[in-house]
Amino acid sequence: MEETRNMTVNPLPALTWNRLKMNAGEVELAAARTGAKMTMSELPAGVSVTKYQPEAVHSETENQKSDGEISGKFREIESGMGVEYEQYMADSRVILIETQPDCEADVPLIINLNYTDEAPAADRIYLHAAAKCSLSVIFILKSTRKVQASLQIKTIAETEAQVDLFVAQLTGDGSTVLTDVDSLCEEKAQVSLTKLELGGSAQYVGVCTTLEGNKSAFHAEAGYRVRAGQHLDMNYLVRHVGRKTTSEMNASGVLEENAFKLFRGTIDFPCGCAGAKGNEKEDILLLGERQVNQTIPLILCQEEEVEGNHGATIGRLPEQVLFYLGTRGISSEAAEDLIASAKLEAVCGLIPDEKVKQTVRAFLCAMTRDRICG
Amino acid sequence: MREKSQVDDINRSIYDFKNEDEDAYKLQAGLTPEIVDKISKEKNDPAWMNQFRLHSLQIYNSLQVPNWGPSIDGLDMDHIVTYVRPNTKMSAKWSDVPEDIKDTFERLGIPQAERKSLAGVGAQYDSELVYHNVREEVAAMGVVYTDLESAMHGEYADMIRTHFMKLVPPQDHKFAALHGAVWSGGSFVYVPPGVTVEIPLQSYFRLNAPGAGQFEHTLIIVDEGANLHFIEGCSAPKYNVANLHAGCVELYVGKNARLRYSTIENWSKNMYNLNTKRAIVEEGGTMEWVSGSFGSHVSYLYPMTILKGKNSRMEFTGITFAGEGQNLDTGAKVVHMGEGTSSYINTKSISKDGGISTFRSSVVIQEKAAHSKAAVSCQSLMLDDISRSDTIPAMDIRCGDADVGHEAKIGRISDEAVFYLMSRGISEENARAMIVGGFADNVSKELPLEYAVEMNNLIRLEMKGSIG
Repeated sequence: MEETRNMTVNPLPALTWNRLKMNAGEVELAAARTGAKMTMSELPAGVSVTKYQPEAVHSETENQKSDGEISGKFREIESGMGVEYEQYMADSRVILIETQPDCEADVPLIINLNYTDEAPAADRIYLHAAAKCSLSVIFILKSTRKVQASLQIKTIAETEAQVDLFVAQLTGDGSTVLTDVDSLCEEKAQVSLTKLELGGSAQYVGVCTTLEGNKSAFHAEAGYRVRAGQHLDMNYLVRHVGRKTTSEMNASGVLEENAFKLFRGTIDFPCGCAGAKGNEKEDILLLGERQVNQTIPLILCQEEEVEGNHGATIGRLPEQVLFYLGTRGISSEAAEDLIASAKLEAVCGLIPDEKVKQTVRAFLCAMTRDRICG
Repeated sequence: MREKSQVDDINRSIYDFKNEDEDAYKLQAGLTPEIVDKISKEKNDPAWMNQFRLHSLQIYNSLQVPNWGPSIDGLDMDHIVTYVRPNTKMSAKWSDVPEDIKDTFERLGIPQAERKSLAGVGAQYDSELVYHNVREEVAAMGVVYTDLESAMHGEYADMIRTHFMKLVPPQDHKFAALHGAVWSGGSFVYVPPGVTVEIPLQSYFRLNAPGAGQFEHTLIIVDEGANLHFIEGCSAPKYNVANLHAGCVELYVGKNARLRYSTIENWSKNMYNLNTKRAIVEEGGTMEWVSGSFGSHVSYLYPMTILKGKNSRMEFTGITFAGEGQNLDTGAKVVHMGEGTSSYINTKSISKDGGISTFRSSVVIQEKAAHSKAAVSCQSLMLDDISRSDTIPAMDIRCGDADVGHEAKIGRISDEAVFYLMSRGISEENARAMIVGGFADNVSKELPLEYAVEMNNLIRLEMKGSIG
């Protein structure tokens, strides 16, 4: 029986020079795994949750449902993390969250994924947002020790549905964490994703959204702080299939000395997506003298009537800013932390729950060694 | 109902004439050690070069074709003739060049350009240079401009051996190895310290033979404080069989020296253009690339600059026009090694009639390149929805003290801009022509006037449109 599996993850949709080592990531994962310890806040009205076991292991005597009963449409959603990860996750349990049509959840659903066991964990969470409903879901991934955590979130947003996803990754040092967030948007549906990458040692993030319906939209805000020895590998992909679809992807992050970060961001305009607009921006603050910061923002275009833009700014704090803060008694180290925290606070501030915000802020303060948090 | 504006293809009639090549000496098609040996004997190679060629062939056989970029499945090396020698020897007088070959270059305007605006000219026809000349006053300054084979046997032999394929080693990629095995023709330029060549030198490469490859090697050394503008032009008539261009350009820019390398590439649409260009720049030196890619069936072209010296800099300005049947994968690469280095890559691309244009770049800032700055800007214009335009820019920053900016835009001709111009009394077709012409302006304004005119003629964007 295989104990570990080597996988290629986060494949770039259009390959480039192999020597740059940006075409895909490589990761070794334990083959056997269990589910995370999962707790949920009270379900908003009109929202239901059902557990499914993978077809291969499900047992009718235990009154469990098989994931084969779930809409096949979820399987059609493309994975940002890639085909091999999709196959790897196929053996894990599924939590299906469904909403009724027209339901408007007034409070977010909070899902805590606690990785307490040493055993590697893998979970699939499927979200089916019915037409014209609106729902916010917050995912918090936590551990106090070194763990291996794999999570796949797939969302179907039906016509005019609005789904806001928030994912905060706060696992302990030494952890390997893979999060794959994939969506399919029908006509006029909107999905937003706010994602904070703060914990762990090896982090892999795949995000793929297919804007299938006309006038559907996707908005992503990603924040990260990568410390010495940490490895963050991201792959964001938006496919504009429908007409007049829009996307906006913003990544804002901080890299400390000896950190590694790779951001792949792709806007794909296939033939037929007339009137589509896509924007992508990455803003990176470099702290320390040496780190590896790789960025590859792609635009793939087969349609004439589209607008696509991407931009990236990479650099350290300007001397003027350090001088200004220095004249106010703030050391350059504290100034760097202050500005870095402000960048992440801009993303953290989007979380629609005060308690979760406090949890994230506390984690951030611990990362900055109390230089600015007292 | 609005009729779609029509942007015509490049008018290639002035480039598409061809000569019979009955008198030419050709090696058999394919690639074997025997063929490489024959080329070596034809070129009267010194022993080290013969060994270098055979070693390169081994490397070629061990390397794979790229798994990225346009397909080159249509290129079968078993059907490519790697050496075609025209029935003449190189001359410094046009009157000594055979009539049909001379006529070819006359029609391309090379002798006229030489008289009007060039300090020297090299003209290559298939695998060999047929004409090479440099003005007396330029030669008197110590500037060397000659064919590479002569240089390899003369007083510059050591210099050639020290520099030849050191910047682009045969291990670099499969087609660099191919070049190392079968290279033929090309130019050697040496500009001594402190010398400024006021007017440009030009090499023009013409591939006449069907099913043949051209593998010229250009080696330029601009010594400390010197200054040179070098222009490269290329064209070929169209055939129904694949032709191959796998040239190699190596540029050494000395301390505080400056080199501008301008290219108007206009190969025919049966050409696989797998060219490699690379420059290394010493302290305070400047490398400027001006590149227009209009021809070829498939292109892989990414001039690379290594900013080795402190405060060295590079600028790349390019335009790519991909029409029907073309898949042009172009861009630039830069590696910042020295402190305080800076680079700016600015490109435009136009796709129409099913053409595919890909902008591909890489910016690498190494650990020791503190205070470096890099900026990349690429803009793409889609003229219809059967074409394709991709941008694939990569950045790898390993130094904390660096500033890097990148921006890319893709879109079509703006209705607002057309409306604005029309409100000033300009017809729609002229308005669209102005916008597309302006889009290409970044390259043409960087070229000497005569070449800018040639480029604009080359594009020949004729617009028609109406709103009914």
